[in-house]
Amino acid sequence: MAGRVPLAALGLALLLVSPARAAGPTVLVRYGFDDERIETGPDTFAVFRAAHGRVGLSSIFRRSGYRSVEIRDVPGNGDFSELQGYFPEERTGHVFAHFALLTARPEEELNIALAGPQRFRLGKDGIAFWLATREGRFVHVSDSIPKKLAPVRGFVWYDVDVAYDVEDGVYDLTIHEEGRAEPIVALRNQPGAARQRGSAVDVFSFISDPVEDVSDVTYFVDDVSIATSRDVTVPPLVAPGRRKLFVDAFAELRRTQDEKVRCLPAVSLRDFGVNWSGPLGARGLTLLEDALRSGSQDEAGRLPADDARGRVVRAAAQWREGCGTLDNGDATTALDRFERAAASAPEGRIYGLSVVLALLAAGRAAEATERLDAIAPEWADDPRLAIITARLAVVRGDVAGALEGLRPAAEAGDAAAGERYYSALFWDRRWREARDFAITVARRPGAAHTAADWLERAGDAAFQLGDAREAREIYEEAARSAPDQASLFLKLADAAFLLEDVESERKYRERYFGTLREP
Amino acid sequence: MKSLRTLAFVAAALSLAIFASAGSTLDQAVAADDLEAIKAMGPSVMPRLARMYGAGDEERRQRLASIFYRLGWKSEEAKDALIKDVHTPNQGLRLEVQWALGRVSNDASVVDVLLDNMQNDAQLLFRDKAACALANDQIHLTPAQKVHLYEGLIRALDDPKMDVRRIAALVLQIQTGQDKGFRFAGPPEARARAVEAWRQWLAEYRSQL
Repeated sequence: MAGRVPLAALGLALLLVSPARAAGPTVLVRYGFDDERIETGPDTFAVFRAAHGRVGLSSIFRRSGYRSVEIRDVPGNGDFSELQGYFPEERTGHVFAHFALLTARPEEELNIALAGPQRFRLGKDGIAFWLATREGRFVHVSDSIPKKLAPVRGFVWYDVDVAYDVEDGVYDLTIHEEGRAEPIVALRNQPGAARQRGSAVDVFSFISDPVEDVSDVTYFVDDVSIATSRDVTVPPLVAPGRRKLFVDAFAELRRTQDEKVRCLPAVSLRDFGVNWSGPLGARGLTLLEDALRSGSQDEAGRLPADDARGRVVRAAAQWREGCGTLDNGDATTALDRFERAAASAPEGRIYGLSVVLALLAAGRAAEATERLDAIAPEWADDPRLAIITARLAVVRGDVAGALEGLRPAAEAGDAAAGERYYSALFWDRRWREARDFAITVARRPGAAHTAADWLERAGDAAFQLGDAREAREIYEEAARSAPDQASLFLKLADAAFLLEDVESERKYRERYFGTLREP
Repeated sequence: MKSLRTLAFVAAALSLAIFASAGSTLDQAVAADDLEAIKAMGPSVMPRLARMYGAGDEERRQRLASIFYRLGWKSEEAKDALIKDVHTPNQGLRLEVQWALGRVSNDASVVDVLLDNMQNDAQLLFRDKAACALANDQIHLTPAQKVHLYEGLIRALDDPKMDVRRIAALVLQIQTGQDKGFRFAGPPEARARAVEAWRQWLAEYRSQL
């Protein structure tokens, strides 16, 4: 298989790289579409088949072996046929891409791109390389300008090679036409699609026309390979289409979310030091609402300078702004805003609590504990106090203490405390308790609207317990009330994989990532 | 002969009935905001939708403008109908019209009117949303028409109003992924250098047409 995909061009491109940098190359992904390695997934590729279009294997035309991928679209269907592939993110070195292309209709538009985590838009970490056909010619978008290249002929294979220098944001492009020794395109040092240095890449796309929806194109792609000049280890696939089980990928994502410190919501005017709405009046309430929405202190400026309500509105705006910066990971600025809010409106108890959160986010746990002790009496049984206390306990390594603090509010039905309680159990590997708690919450009267989420959590815990069969049953129950929740059917694919139910695994996975096989 | 006339009458009556039924179906789809049903009728409904727009009150016109936007089908009739409302003070209608125009046409006059709104409208909101339309909704422009758009945007980088410079730079950034070092609040000489870089870029863009 490996020898079948022509890598000569990649080798040639590597010669252009300085010896000091040419530690690789490492092939990141390679598809000839001839063997069984056509499973879709987050680490291989996804197939988006537009209505009346087609993305599938074809043996009519092929550059090598006996199959290629046919991509066909029809205009005006509001949808686009696409083969989108994924490879490990590359932020340094050179990335080499090779593919073969044959179009049946040269006058119809098609687009091919290499892009980064910002996906298919022009800008840093967006599209780095963009090749298209327009009105019968190859076009590449370089420096945000569509630049005409050689004409395209129908039913002729073209071998395309790109050597992209990630740090400098430039590439070399070579296109060979089948049957001709000399390249029809040989460009060096072209600015990237949007002239961005250091624009990462981790995805490729073969698509029709994703904007105007007027393309009636049919084209074929073969021998796709992406390599890097760096010497890297590409982890193996652990299941079809994925290097990591979906359950684990979602758990990682949730852990990131769980660990991120965010503002706790304000639930009453008392949080801002207003005991009842009377003193604020209708105008003051409107300004407070606007300040909380915008985080702008300009709202306070709409009151006379000596109006006492300005102080309340200004503090609320500072708090809102602090919450925004905390969300963006800037704990220092957030702390400053919360301190200012607390100083100008000390009666607003949410400000002091938020100071504790910002200290926690800044890694200043001892100060956070001290401040929390000082404000704890005014929070009494408020579940938000339990949540912050538990966070601090976890930081100190006292998970048991955190659980003890959260349990009353969690069992009393406070949603935020319940989620935090479950997370503390889950991350402490107390999966049996986590599963039982999640099932209890899911079965509570009146919990129908969150039952699927809680059942999914219970399924996750069952999965960690190694009971794929129970996890599958729980996920299936959750999916009955949330049939379109992608996380559920992807986790069902994992459970089916572990249970060696190949057909179900494929059915669930392909529901999200599509398939190259005929439906 | 008589029977032929009868047949002709029956055929005419039938076609009228079919036409009336199609019209009422389109009416119903518009009233229900049923985009899928309208899409299923195909782009040939655009002239009829444009006539409905012209005959409607402001609320109906706003709904139809939103439908034009979501359909994204090019139509001279729709453009002509919408452009009459491109200066309306009715906020909801104005915004829908500004957004929809670029999605039903690739006409330089649409680009011009949106550029004018972006720079000269008395209300910041309308200026701002005209810029949004120029950034995101000019989906049918040919490369030559894009040059026209970029020319207008680069010209607006010299606008004395700071907010106009800000939104013009933002539109260019969204359209091209670049800023050429332009800072809307920067000193005039630094701005002039960046504008010159944009002009050189535009010259290269034009040379590729």
